[in-house]
Amino acid sequence: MTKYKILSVLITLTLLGCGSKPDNVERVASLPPIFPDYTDVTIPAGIAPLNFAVISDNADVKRVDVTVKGDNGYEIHSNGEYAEFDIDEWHALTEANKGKRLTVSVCAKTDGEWIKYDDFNINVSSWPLEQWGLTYRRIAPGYEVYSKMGIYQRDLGNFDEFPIIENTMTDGQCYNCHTSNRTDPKDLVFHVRGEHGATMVRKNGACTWLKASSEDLGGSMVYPYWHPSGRYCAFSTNQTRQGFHISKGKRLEVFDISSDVLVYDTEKNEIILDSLLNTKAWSENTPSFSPDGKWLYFTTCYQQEYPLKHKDEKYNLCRISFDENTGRFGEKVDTLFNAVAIDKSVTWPRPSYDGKYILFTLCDYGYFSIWHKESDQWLLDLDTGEARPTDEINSSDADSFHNWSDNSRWVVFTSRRHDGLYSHLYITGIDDNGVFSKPFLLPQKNPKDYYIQSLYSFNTPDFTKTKVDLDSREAVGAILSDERIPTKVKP
Amino acid sequence: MAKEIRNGYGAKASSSSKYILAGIFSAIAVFIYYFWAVPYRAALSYREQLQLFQTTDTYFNSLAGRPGGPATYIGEFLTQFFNDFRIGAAVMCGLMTLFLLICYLVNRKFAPSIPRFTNLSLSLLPFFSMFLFFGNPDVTLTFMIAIIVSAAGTYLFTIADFNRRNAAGKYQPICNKTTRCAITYLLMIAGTSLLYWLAGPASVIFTLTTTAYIYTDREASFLYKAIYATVAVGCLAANIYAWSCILTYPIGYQLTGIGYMMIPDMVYTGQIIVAALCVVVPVLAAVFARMPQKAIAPTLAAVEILAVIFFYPKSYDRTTYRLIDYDYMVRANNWKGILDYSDKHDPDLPLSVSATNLAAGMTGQLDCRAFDYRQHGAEGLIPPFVKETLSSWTTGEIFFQLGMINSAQRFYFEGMEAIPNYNKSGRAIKRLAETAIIRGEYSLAKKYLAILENTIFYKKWAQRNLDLLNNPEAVDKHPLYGSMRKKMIDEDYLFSEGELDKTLGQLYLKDSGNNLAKQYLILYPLLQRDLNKFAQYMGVVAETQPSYNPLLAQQALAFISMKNGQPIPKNIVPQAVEQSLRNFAQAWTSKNPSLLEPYRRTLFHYLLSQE
Repeated sequence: MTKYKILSVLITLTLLGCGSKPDNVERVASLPPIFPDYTDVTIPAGIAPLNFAVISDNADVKRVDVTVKGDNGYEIHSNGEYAEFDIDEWHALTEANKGKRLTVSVCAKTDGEWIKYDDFNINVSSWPLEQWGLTYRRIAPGYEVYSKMGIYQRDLGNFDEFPIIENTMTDGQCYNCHTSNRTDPKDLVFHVRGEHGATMVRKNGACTWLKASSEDLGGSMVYPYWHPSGRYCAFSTNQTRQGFHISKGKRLEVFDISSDVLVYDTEKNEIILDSLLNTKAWSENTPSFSPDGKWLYFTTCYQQEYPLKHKDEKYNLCRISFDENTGRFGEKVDTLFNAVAIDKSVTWPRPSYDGKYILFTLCDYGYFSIWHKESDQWLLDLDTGEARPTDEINSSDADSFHNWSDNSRWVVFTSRRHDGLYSHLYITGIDDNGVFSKPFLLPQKNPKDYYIQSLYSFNTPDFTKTKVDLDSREAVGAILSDERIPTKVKP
Repeated sequence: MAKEIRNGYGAKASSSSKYILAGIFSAIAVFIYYFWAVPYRAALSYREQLQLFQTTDTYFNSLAGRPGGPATYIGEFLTQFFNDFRIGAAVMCGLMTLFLLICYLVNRKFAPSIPRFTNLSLSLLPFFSMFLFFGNPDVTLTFMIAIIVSAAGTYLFTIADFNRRNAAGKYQPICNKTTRCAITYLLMIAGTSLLYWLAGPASVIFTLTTTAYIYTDREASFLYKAIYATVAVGCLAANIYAWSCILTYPIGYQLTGIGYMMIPDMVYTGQIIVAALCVVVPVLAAVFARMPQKAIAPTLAAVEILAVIFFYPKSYDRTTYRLIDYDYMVRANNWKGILDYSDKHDPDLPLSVSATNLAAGMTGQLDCRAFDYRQHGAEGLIPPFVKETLSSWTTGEIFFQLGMINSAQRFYFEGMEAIPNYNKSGRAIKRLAETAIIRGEYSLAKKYLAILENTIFYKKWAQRNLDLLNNPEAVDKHPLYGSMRKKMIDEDYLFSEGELDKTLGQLYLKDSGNNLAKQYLILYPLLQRDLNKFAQYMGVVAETQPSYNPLLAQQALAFISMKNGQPIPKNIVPQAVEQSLRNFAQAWTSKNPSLLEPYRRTLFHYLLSQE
């Protein structure tokens, strides 16, 4: 019996020694150094838990103890190597506190001592997300060679990620530019590059595999955007080249030796060209339709001599009217934002689906903004015609490709703010005054391990209303078959 | 000698044969260790650099979700020890000996009465086939682990079969037929699923060998055997199908083994032979055990040794391994080693030529000795980009040593992305961390260093560099990073493969102490046979280093003077060089190959010939 008593005392002492619960806590008057930085961000209810780690350059953080309380009540707790919350509890907490604040109390054990930091808040938006999740491409941020890559989808309510298609299935093909129609994946398009090249167009779930490039078009069908009717899809025809910087500030440059904009009619399998969008002296690029389908937005720049004058490649944001009944464009092009006048360049114009704004990226030159540290997001108010840099979400590093949620209340965009090279996804909300909330990094179960160990960039993100149900085996069969439907130009 | 039955396991041979057997095993182990530690140590480094094993849950999880993933995890875990050839050779020795031992044990279960030496000579068949197959540098340790695990699974199955055969192979039931049957099926079904997950398609060895084992049971009915075979094959097929529903790999990869080879979509004959021998050899053991023994072991051993001698040069292709040797020395910055190697083996491939030039440049001999070796034009100095790992890294190393850090970063990154089995690379990540530090990208460098902290062999280096980043001023004073920063060009423009000589000039103008850039600058136009450019670039160098007058410059100047019909400037060109040129000129005009032979490796010959 004595043996058992001694054993119990030893076990108790060992457990006490582990010190998993905060005691003798020292208070410090600063916010906790957490990764990702979720302090004062605004999230939609039902999003995956904002797990985080406490990081310190000077000390090893062995344990954290975190309590999250909602203004409307409900409290959850996490104690471990990092803050990891139960998904159901987190959902219940955020649902109960829509439009309210969550207060997060963080204690961390460093060098054997518990420290309590100042509390911070997480705001739960009253606006719902109304999206199943995200789609994105994941690829190493390389130059010409790519290893494993693919298009993936992620359930935003938890941490589940599913491949839509991966290049391991098809001898290392490249997949890019996946685009759904207003976040609805029933209409979907993506490109396959390389030996088995194709443009996949899925209408109401039925896939058509188009020839990847055509002499009639003067290039491939690139950077798609659906017309809200689902009948048309706009593309540019970028004949892309790359250049590599010699000095230390930059790495890579992408430019087009030519580019036009066209619209593909999915019903007639016809390409609609227009002289105003197929100019020789100018490069038209990155098209998108207005939510009412009456306008086609695009960017255009005066064709430069490449690569010598690649820094003179500067795009303006323009629009041209489009009649969906006749499939014809208007007679004139309007300039919506004259970036050349301020010696800048516009890229990736994405109108909000409520018709109020166009969010675009502005950089010093060119359009491949992810390789430009100075790239920032700008918001054009379509009522006033005024554009402003969205400083509330921009960073000192590249902030680039973006898309709106279906209800135009949330935006997902890529940013290299974490390490300067690997693009990660950030989500931000917009209020009635057109001001964005502090963006939050896409949550992961163990974010520190995930983001530090990942050697991939996330790019071309978009929200998706439902899970994409593409049969990848069938798609692979179609890709490898090389059976392609040629497109014809509308007379 | 009268045979005795001992422990149910075959004939008791003399104790001396036992020791001889142990001696042979030991000799094989020593040979394997020596083989990988001495002549083929570069091949260990080659395999190690094509992966980035991390001691994290995330890394395990990334592999565990596919058939053969655990074998890949173990294989990559062991491959990381190839970073140190002494430990790497011990790993190879241990695995190969283990493989031989398992083959030996399985044979003994099939044929308990088989004599030791017959068994050993049979076991050497899969062993030698594995040895030869490993000559292909694309074969990974995943394959060997998968084979060993599958063979070991087979052995465990035969052990768990209740020792139901005595020494003479007679059936000795220890439980009733139904129980035995149920347990056999349970073991087979569970073993197939487990082994398919652990080892991937190599588990077919388990399926077929256990089926063969059941077939060698003379007491079992044909129906029992037929049902077992059908269920075993069906069970394997069911596993393959079930996994194919969730995997994002083509069924072909699944059948050839994901991760067995560096190039996933290739089917290798050697792979099939090794696996087939693992199945066939135990059956042969059962057959041979019933035959007169006298000649079997020596005949088999002789045939095997002859086969190894015949296939060895094909398996361990000399050209491939020379490139691997060069890569190994470039990785270690063993410049003297490269020059010694090139003195022995005439470098003739782009990688070996460029590595030799780099080594000559790094030791300050390029401007004198460049034409002691075969040259491939300016592309032999700085090869163009090709989507291949070793070439990219060698060229990346040239850029790194020159101070073209952006280009070094690109070539190391691209080399890593070109690894065919989608792996990342510890070697490349280390270089990428260094280039990020030199470029002042500290956040990025910290990311790479944090990844390397999760490794065994790069951890200490990563921690030292993380400490360094906490004191940015120390980076400028760092012997490598500081000097590289001084070399980097300030002016920004886009890289042009056709105008690298201009960049070499910029590098020299930025830092006239950049000895490598200087040598490359004057050699570049000579390799292009552009003497005007050479004169121009020598003029640039002379502005800052008037006394710089290496042998190649003397030879080139003498050549230009003679070509233009001008007197050779004696204050610059020594008499010996002038005489050498005159002798060459006579030999050239004579068109007598034997007279020209001594000049084949000279600048003079290079400038006139179009080879």
